[in-house]
Amino acid sequence: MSLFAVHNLEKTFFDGEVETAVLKGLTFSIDAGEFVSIMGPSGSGKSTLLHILGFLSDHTRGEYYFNGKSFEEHTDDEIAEIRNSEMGFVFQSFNLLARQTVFENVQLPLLYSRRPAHEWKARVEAVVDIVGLTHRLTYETGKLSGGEKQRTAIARALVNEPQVIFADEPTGNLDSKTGQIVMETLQHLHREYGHTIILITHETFTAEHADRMIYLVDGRIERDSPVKKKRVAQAGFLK
Amino acid sequence: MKITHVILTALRALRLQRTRSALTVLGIVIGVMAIILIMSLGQGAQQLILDQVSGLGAETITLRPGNGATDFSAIFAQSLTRADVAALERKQNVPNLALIAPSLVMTDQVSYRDEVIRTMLWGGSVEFLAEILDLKITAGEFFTDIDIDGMARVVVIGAQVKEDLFGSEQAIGEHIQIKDQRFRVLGVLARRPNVGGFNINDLVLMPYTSAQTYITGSDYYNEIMMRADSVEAVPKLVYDVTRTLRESHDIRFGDDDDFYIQTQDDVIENIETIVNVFTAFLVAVVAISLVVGGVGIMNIMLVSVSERTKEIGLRKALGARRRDILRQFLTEATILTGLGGVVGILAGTALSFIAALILAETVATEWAFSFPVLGAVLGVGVSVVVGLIFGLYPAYKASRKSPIEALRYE
Repeated sequence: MSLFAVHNLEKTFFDGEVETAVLKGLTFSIDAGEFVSIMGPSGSGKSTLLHILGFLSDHTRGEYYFNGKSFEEHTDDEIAEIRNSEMGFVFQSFNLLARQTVFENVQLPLLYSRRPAHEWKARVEAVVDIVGLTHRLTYETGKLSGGEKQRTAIARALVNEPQVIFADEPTGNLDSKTGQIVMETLQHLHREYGHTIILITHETFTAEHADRMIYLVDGRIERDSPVKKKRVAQAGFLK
Repeated sequence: MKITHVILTALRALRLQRTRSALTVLGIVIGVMAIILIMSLGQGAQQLILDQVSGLGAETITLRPGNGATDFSAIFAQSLTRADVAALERKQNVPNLALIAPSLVMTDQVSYRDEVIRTMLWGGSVEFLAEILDLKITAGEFFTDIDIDGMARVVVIGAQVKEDLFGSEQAIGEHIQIKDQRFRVLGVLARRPNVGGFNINDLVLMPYTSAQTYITGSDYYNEIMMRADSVEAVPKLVYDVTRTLRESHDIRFGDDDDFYIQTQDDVIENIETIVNVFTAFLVAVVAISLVVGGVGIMNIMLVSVSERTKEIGLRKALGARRRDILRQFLTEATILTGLGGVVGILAGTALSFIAALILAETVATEWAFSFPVLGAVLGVGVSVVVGLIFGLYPAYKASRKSPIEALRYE
């Protein structure tokens, strides 16, 4: 059974009289442990697709099954719990709480989890160590560099040991060197910990760090194929 | 999400907006402060009045014509006579009676040369003056039983009356005029605070027989004070007096009394009722300001929810349920108003304390500060409830935000 199974998925936005079809019938599946990039020019619907896959919004028509169950079958609370325990999100604009420390930001998903509070500290320290920010643990995230912010966000996505990590243009706000550090971290997580990673990007270069590329144009899948020459990020950041 | 973390999260959010939080809750602080002040002053006033009333002693009861404190026609009622006093004085009728003092109270003009004042006249007896009111004389002397028997035209005047009529001149031996009759001033009372709710300083006292003869022209009393031989005997005294008077007034079984008896407990109860009603009224008025404060809180909370759309969206994306968000904002509002309530109590207490000092200095030296426990409980309770009620709508709005819309919000 595939982790993600999408069949004839459509998404239409209604704004008063105006209907805008963003996704126009997508069919694909993604297995656990895959590293897939969803690529396309802006307006192709890739972010909308990520939101649907990430249970952040619903679709208009078609079917979407996560772990064999569709969005509609879950109550609101179950959806919140799935987002909390099975999915991790990394956003282009980081979405950190600027006045809180790295520790507090990374701990945030644990506040909403079933994990007992006495395990929190060790969990946070472990994932912060993975992204190499142990020396920044007590810094307010507003004072970090862009690369450090994104690595904090990755640590936050990891802290509850999710199956899937969604990364929405994670290098979009970073220079190429720090971008490489972020990609190296994602590849490391995929290789060493077996996380399923879904990467959204509009850059071919970034997309080529995945094993498989789904190319969207105007709400349709134009191409869905393995990456022939996979790039391996070697910023030399990770030991 | 555990409640401890809900509270910590709320506290952190409030700390980040210290100035705004403080200004937001100012309305609640002032409202609670006013409640504490009013209730403290109310208690102080009540205590002051009760202290004065209890100056009469718990053994004392008052017999008046009519059938209750609210029967205003009783002022003209003429049901208490000398025969009644004679009946009550008989030991076999009322064995626990230690003292009986008939009296008349009326208001009239009193003049000396060109000075004319309107004041309270009190026809009483020696026992009444000396024992029940516990009056001291600074100059001259009291009238005696001989004066009472002889319906003497003599008076003892209060300190204020002396000052108004005579100024610094000698009053003893002078004659003052009341209703075309001349009364010789026997003595002047020492200045002192009210007793039994009466302003002793503004009083003209004379034998009750004289008051009946020269002022009212009748042999009725409008008040008879009695004292039981012990506090425990007061109920029996009331019972015996009632039985004796019903007999002497020839009231049939089933008919109402044409007199009523007030014990000190009744008086205290009446005063408490009046002060409490008055305080409750003021508190109700002030409570409206708490509602206004609540609206202010709702307003700012709504601004805060819209400003923090991104944070709310993020929390939801990371797994916060609707009720987690609802609880977070509700907790923020409640902590805010609850703290406002506590600050209001502290400020109100400080203010009441200062007010009590000033009142003790200016109005009545016996004025004492009292902390309104009920007001404090009420103040914090109402504040928290205001936070809950007015925080609910903003918190609900926050909880309904879609994570996507929220994350997009820049």
